[in-house]
Amino acid sequence: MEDFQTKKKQIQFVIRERLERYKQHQKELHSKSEVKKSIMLGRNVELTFSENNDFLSDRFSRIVLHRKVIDWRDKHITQIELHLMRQLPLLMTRIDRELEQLSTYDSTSGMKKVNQKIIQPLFNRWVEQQHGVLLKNAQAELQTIHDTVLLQLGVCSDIDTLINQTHVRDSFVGAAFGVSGIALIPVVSSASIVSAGGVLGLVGVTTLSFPIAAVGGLAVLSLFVLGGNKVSSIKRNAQLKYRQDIGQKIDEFVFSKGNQNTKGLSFSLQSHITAASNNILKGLTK
Amino acid sequence: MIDSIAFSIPSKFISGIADGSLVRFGGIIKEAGGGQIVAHLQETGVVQNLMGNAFSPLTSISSIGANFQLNNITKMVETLQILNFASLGVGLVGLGINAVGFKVMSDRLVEVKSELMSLSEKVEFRFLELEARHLREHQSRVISLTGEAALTSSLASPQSEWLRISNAFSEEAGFYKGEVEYLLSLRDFRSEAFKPLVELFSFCNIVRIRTLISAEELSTAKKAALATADDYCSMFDPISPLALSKKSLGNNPNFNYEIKLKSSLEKNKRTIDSIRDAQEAISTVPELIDTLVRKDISGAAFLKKLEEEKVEPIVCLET
Repeated sequence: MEDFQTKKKQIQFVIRERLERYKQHQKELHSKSEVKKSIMLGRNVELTFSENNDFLSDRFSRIVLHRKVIDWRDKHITQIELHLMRQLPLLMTRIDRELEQLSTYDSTSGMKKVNQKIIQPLFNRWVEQQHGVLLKNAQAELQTIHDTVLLQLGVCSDIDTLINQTHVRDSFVGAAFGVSGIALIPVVSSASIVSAGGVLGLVGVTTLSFPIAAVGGLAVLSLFVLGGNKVSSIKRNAQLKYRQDIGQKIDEFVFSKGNQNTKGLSFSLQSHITAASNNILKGLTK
Repeated sequence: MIDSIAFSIPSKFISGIADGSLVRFGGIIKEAGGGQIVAHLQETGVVQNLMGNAFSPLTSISSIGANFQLNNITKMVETLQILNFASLGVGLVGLGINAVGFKVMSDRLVEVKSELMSLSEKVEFRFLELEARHLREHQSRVISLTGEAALTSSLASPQSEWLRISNAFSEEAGFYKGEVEYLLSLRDFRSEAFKPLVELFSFCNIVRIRTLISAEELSTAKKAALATADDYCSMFDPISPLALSKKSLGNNPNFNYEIKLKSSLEKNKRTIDSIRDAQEAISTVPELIDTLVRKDISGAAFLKKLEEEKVEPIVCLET
């Protein structure tokens, strides 16, 4: 009987011990997943720490890393701003080059198509390029600071939305007749709003564009009766107007200039960097 | 407790730092591999006597004619460069425990006070004008407390007086913390007001730690140093040179914006580097206090020895 009681106690002890170990194990798993969760960086970015580092337990390493991360953040958000400032004029030069090659027709009534087929893709490629270069540099340097990886640094998904919100003035109408007010036409990559067609193809495309298209058609017809100098002057004015408008819109898109409600490309990239640094710092204070 | 403290000079560690076996971080020199602290860097009374402004200590060179001081500045700059200080901005809190004479401190405080008061006369600093009386009250209190601290060391039993002064500085630090946070929350960044307020905030904290050490309350001094380091993180981590520059230029980019931004970035980077260096320096003070405790060194004796140093601007306390 005594043996039985002793055996029972031993078994109870073993069960309790196993239970404790199991609970402890669960707690560790939970805290690991919490750490992982806490270092998720916003929408697109995730930060991972290497398996075999013990920096969290060393106060000095934490302080050193803290400074390095802050310096990294400051450096790259500044670089993003200055890099985009430097690159933007180069993009505008490329746009100018494209505009110079346009025919009189394309420079006037065909401007929306040019915008859709040439300028927009050119701009999209530029955005992707800047996005890639800037975040690649930031990531490479972050890895030298600590064995951390920024994952999923794709082109920010806001870009399409922002481009879809971009409007440019119908250059021909603005330049030739000074029509304003109704002259804002959505320029989008989607063909559902503006369809390609003949000279008067704009008519009936959308309710918004109808009056402009009508004026545009009239104006294009009038080109036939104008002399060569006049035509080239109209072409020049149209391109100038378009360039001004597109320049303003690109500025707005990149730096949120003129429209504080939109968050531009620069802001979006800087937010990636700031989110990454905030999450690393948060991990360090645990 | 031991009263004879052996200091070494930083050049002893130059070769180690040069070959990478040793690294300097904040106020400590440690082994690169194992992370063992080998020495604590500690400023002496010589250092801040040479400094005119906590954010740009070397600007005072032109106002110092004496060769002796010029030599000391050169020596200090060389030492700081060898130790890889980015901005020489450690003047904000000092290296190790503050060891500047209270008279020198008091003179500097009068300068800071006049800097702030002259700002309140400018239109763009109207907010200061509104609070000028309030600010004056606090500045006068800090100056007066510094004067009281200067007398305390000559008391027969100064402990309780050190503690009273320490508490008062703690309150003042809280006030300036609030002012700096308020300034940073504004839409525009006012660098001219920011710098003296940060300097006053740092000053109150370092004197608070120093008075606790003078009162031999080393454990509390350590806690105060940790709390100050945390304050630095929460106040200054979110700011960046770019954010400050954009704030100071306003939200309407105009003609020559890029040039103005670059120039503003340069200035603000210097300010931020100084703050970050100060942040590092204060965050290593708790380890220095641990070393004092471990080596059974009296806080008062440690400070006395530093105040008495007349040649070396920075010395090392080996662990």
